[in-house]
Amino acid sequence: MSRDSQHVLLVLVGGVLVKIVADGSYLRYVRPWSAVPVLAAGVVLITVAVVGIVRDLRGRAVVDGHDHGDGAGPEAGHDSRAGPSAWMLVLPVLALLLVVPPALGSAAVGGVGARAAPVSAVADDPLPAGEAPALGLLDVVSRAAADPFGQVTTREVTVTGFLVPARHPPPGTATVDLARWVITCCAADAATVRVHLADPQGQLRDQGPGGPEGDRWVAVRGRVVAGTGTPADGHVPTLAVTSWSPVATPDPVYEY
Amino acid sequence: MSLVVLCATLLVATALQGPLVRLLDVGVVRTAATVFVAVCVQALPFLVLGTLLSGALAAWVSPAVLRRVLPRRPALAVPVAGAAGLVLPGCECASVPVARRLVAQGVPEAAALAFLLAAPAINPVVLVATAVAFPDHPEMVGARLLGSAATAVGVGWLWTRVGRAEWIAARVRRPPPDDGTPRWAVFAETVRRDVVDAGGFLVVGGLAAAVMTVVVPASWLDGLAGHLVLACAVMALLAVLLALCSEADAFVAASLSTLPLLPRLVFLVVGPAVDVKLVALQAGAFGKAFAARFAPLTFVVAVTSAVVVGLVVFGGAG
Repeated sequence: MSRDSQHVLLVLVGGVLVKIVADGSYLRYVRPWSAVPVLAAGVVLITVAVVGIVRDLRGRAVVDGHDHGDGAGPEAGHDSRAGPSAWMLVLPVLALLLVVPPALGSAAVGGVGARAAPVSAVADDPLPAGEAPALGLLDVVSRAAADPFGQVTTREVTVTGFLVPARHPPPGTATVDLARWVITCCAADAATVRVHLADPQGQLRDQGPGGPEGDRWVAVRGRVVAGTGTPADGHVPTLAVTSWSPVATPDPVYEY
Repeated sequence: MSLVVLCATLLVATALQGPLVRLLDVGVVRTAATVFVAVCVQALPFLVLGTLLSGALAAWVSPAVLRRVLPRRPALAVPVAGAAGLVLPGCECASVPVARRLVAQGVPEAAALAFLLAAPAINPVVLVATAVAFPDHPEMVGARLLGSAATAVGVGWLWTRVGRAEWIAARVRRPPPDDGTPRWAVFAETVRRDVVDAGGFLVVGGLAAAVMTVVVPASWLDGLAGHLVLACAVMALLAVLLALCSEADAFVAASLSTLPLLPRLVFLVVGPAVDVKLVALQAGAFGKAFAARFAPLTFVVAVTSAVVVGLVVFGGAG
């Protein structure tokens, strides 16, 4: 690959990095703190390419003014061509310019999502004030793991997630689980957390999981059934549903 | 010429945007596409950081200075270079261009390779992440540090014995131009070349990792709990195939809570030393002949180190 093409490619790669930070789609792939490094990398790549282009233009002007030659460009003596592997850099550019792959959702559960997110035993800090405070799904699972009879079993909370087919549902729970993706660094290490939904009033009877057409995001209000969410049930607590409502896809779409 | 091809590629792809989007919107392909882009977006900043360091080394640190800093004897230079990895908070993508530049600047290969293996595995960020991921098993941090240090130094020492200079591509040792080019221009040129060279291979590695992520069945992990040897083998293989960032792999290992600690330690020691993304990057930086020998050597040493350290640290509980 010639020098000129390398410069164009670097501007493109740097450009898409800046673009995904600017329009927020980077949150589909990495965590919020990555905004600064991704943006910085984009700016560095563009700068390096511009420096190269400017030097080439100046160098070429000097050569042309000297002997009107058009053969040997600047740097001709240096090995400034890149191998064929450099062409692979076109792929992420195309992916981010034309396709912008979506965030992981219910369709990915069961593939990479076979793993459960790590549940660290957190101290059972006081719940936020107010009626049915909003808690992260990972937070609920972690609290249940830390104390299966803790505050989430005595007070109502509101949890947001998408519906997926229930896995090993205990008797009396719905055919869907509430799930959320948790990422550590990027979507490549994503794992799911989930809760079963106990639904004695049958409010969720007609609700199916999301499919290829999109995820079904809901906010569920309820309390965790005491004694669930232990190693015995694989750290999947059961949430007794009081009410639920469809919600828009949250932003950011992952939990951390 | 290549500029024409590049523009044509972009134009054709733009024209075919609709079909392209539909093609990538099917089940596992969509997941793989997301994972692929995620690997690229996550790794590129670190790769750029590594190439900036590499460019600075090329432009402002003369080989003579490096020779003065490192012990003369390779056997001593290996642990010193390995220890340098302890303070550099880079991940594996950053350390490859730096190690390549160290070789170019005349650092003994074995020492540069010890740095290559140590830097992503035992820096403070990774150790803290490991401590956070294993709150109930603080001994995991020490075990990981020991296992990775043993891997880096062990491979370095073995390389002083069996390594041959001709395995590393000749272009690596070509010095930067010394023809009065201003230093900042040497810096910019080095960064450009390193990013373009390594970036292509990073994309190859990211593709491989994305495919593996959706292809490797979850059932591999079922029923491993009772088979320690099998579990170690599967976890070592998974570490190579999944190519996780060394800052994230501890959380993945922690989530596999049905497994004993030893196979999870194997996963943490092998991952930062050898995985599909790294092998691609190393092939790009040092040549295919090098990668074909270095990857199996590292794999064997890493698994051995992890098992020995694990048996000592965890004892029967492992």
